[in-house]
Amino acid sequence: MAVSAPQQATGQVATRNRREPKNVFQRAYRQWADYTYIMPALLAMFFVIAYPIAYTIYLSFYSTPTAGENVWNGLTNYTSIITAERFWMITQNTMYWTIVSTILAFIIGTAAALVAQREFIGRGLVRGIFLIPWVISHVATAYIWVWIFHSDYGLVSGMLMDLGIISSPLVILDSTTWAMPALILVNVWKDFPFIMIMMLAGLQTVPEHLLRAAKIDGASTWAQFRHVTLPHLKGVIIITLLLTIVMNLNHFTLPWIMTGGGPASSTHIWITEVYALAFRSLRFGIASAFSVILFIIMMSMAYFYVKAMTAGDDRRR
Amino acid sequence: MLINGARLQLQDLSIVYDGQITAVDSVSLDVEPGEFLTLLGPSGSGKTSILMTVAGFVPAASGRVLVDGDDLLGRPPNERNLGMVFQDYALFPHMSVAENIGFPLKMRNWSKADIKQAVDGALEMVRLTGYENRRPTQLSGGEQQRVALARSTVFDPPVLLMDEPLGALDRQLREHLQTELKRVQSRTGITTLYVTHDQQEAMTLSDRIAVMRDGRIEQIGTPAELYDRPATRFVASFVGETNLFRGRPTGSGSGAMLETGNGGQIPLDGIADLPRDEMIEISIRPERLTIGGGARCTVEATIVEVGFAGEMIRVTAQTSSGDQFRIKQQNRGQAGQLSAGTSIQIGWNPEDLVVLEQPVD
Repeated sequence: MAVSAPQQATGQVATRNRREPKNVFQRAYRQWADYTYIMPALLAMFFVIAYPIAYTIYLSFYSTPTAGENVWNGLTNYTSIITAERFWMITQNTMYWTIVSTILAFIIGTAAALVAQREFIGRGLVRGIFLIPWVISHVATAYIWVWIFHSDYGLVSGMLMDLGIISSPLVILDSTTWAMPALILVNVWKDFPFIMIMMLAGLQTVPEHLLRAAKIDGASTWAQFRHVTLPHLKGVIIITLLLTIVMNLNHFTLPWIMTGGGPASSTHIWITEVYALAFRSLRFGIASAFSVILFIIMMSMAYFYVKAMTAGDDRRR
Repeated sequence: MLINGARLQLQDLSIVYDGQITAVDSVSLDVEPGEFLTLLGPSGSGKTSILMTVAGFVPAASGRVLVDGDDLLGRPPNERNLGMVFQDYALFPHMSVAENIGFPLKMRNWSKADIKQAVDGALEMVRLTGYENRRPTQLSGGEQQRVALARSTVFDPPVLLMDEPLGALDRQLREHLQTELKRVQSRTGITTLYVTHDQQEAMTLSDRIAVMRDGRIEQIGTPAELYDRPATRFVASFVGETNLFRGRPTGSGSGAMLETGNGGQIPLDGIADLPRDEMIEISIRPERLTIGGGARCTVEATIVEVGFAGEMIRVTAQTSSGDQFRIKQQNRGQAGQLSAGTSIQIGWNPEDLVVLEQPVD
């Protein structure tokens, strides 16, 4: 149907008038119905998440003696954490654990995804084998590896001694030097299938015609991966890395069961330290302050995660 | 810029999928340097399989693919030094137009300065100067295809492969880009192997056309040869519209006739060396038929249907024996005089009539 000039002009005015308001509250008000629909979920989340968070923040400003009332002490919990040498030692452990675990798991997971994507006889079996570490529970994994690394009757020491490579048992989990690398090895073994699945899903979305175009343009296998596959997977890579970093920062079960933070706190990371402060030392105030610090760090990671997730939406808008 | 294209030869090329399905059966073909040759055929005729085998994406069961005598089979696609334009453009979405065009040069380790110079030249050739920094998503379909063309020719490949490159475009844009393609191909002198199922596109662009059917070349020739002298019923009907009649030739000289059954007779005046007492098939294009007198061969018929197609008028007429003729005439305002049921005289000249070579079953 033909549109007359005045109608077109009216349409343009209407479009101008319907421009999105800049004020966030005005925008939210326009979508009041949407918020009504998600209100039950928001309320449930408020009681199981927001309330504990608020109570933790509240406690973080108090001294919490085991006997007697809580005592307001302002920012003392925070300053005592930040100024303690132990905090920085544990932060260093946490960074070491998180960064090395993430990088190694990412490299191995991506390599596994590239292998699992190729067509070969037994591919399904190989994919299944790769997934085994991921489906075993963390607790079972921890006990299996404690046994493998055990100095006296562990598999590693036993095999190396049987082969005559070493003469006395290896000290791994009881060594301040080797305990953390051993934990990282287990963590990488446990986490790489997750990265493999994410990357495999991403690899399957790389359009075949783009790879063909790169091939005919003279790109070697590596150049195809470098110039076509990797840029296509950029979004998947960012999200996978962020999720893995957050998972590692929050990883409690493996380090706690395998070493309990020892020996000499060499495997204590933030999350095990918070647990130890709260439930071993019963210092809930300082544990809460520690939790708040971790919460701020995690929320900054969440910000980047959401930004990465919505990058495509912004481009489409 | 003038590129000396290479000679592309396919020798007894066969392509078999899964060891069972023969897509291409012993095809041999010579594409001269600088020639624009089109593989034309319906879906499943094997034309794309040939292109993919030349590119290196589909293995050959047997035969050879030679570029200037050098056998390409066994080499991976990235070592064949061929240009290729895909139907869906295949532009890298994360790269700018300049980066897309420069990609084959980067893979050949050209210096940045040389890449920039070559990209500028390629952009100028496809008339997209000023588009260097745009992303493929910011371009129209036609612009994307021009970028794909620039990318495939920027490194001066000896042979350019094109897989239905205009298939995804609307008719108007397709016609415009046909002219562009031909201009670029003529300017570069690049040997081009083009695949399409669109006979109009093939006729417009090609120096020669190979019509394919069931994995074999049915006929190869210039567009005019294929149109005016089709060898087989398939070519006659696939390349343009035609009227086909089967029958036995009788008589000789000016009295020669094709007996089509039910007493039907079609004059074959002047056609020599017709096989006697054998079924033959003849083809005559609808636009070569005239309504009214003045032609050497004529038959009486009655109009069955008149179709108005703007610049053309399509008339379907039937003789008393049931032979049906489709006639295309330039619209000169005569549509009102032609209506169903009107008796007309259909005429043609003997040189417009083609006796098809392939024996009739």
